[in-house]
Amino acid sequence: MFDLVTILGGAALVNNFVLVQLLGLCPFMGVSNRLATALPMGIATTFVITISTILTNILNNFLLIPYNIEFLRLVLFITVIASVVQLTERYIKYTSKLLHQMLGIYLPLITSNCAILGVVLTVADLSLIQSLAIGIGSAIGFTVVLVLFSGLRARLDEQSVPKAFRGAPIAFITVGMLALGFLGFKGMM
Amino acid sequence: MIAPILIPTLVLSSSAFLLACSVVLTERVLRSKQRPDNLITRINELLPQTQCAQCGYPGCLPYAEAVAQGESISLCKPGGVTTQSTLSTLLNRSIEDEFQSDPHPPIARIRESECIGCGLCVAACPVDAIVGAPNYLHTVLELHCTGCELCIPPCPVDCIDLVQSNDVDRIRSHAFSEP
Repeated sequence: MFDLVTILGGAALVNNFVLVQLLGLCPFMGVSNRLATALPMGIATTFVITISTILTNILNNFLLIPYNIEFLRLVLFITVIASVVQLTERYIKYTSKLLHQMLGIYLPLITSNCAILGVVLTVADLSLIQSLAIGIGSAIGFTVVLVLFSGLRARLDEQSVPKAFRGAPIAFITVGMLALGFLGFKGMM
Repeated sequence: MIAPILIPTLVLSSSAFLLACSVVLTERVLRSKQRPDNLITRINELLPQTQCAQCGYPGCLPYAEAVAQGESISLCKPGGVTTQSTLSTLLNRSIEDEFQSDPHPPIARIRESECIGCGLCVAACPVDAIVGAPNYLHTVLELHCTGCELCIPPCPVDCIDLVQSNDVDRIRSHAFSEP
C-alpha cells in the first residue's frame, strides 16, 4: 500500500510529466490562460490517462506479449488513446456545449498529447495496479500544474511586463522557474 | 508462414473495430438522452428573448423550461399572439383555452416635458426601445416597446406612463409577421 502511495506521489510531483520530463507542453501552454478552461482540461486529461492506461496495459499483457507482437505497441496505443479522447469529447459535447466551445481544438488534441503516450508507454510492462497508480499520479500532476500555472498567468496578465516579454515569452520563463521549483521535490524521495 | 502477418493484422483491426463501435454506441446513448433539453432549446428559440420577466419567471430560458414541464404558453406578453401560435404548433397544444394575453398591451410613454435625460430607463429597457442621448430628451419607440414596465422603477422623476395604443398593435402584428 505504501509503495502505491509513493508511486502516486512520485509520478505526480517528482517525475511530473510537464515540468520535469517536459512532455505535453502544447496543451499546457494552450489552455492555461484561464482557470475556467484549465481545470476541465485537467480533469478530461486525467480521465483519458486513467482509462487508456487500463486498456493499454490489458492489451499489452494479454494480447501483445503472448503473441509476441510488441512492435504494434505504438500504433495500438495511439488507437486506444484516440478512441478514449473521442469518447470524452462526445461526452463533454453533449453535457456542456459551453465547455466544449471553450476548450475548442485542444479537446481533440488530447490525442496527440505526448504526456499521455509517454505515460502509457512507460507503464506498459508493469502490473495493472502499479501502472494505474502511475497513470493517475501523473494525471493529477498534470492537472495540478495546469491549475497552478493558470493562476500564475492570471496574475502575470495584470503586471507591467516589458513589451518584448509579453504573452508567450514571459509564460515560458515562468514555466522554467516553476520547473526549478518542482526539481526540489527530488530531495523528498 | 502466414501467421506473422495475420495475427498483428487481426489484433489491430479487431481492436480498432471494437473501439470504434464503443465510440459510436456512446454517441447514440448520449444523443438519445439529449432529447428533453432539445425541446427546451427549441421553445427558447421561439420566445422573443426580451428577458422582461413578465411571465413570472426570471427570463426566457427559465420560462422555456417551465413550458416544457407543462406551464401555460400564454404568459409571454412581448411575444403576444404570434409566440403563442408558434408555441402551440410546436407543442401540439391549443391556443383557445389558454388564451389570456391582452390583445392591446399598453406601452410605455415618456412625458417629454418632465424627462431630465438621465438615461436610467435606457439601461433598464430589455428590448432597446428607448432612445436618447445623455442629458437630452428620451423617447420610447412604440413599435419595439413590449410594455414590460421595467423602465418605470429606475426613473428618478417618474415621468413614464403606460398608455393604451391601438395603432401600435396594428404596426406590431405587421412587424412580427415578417420572418
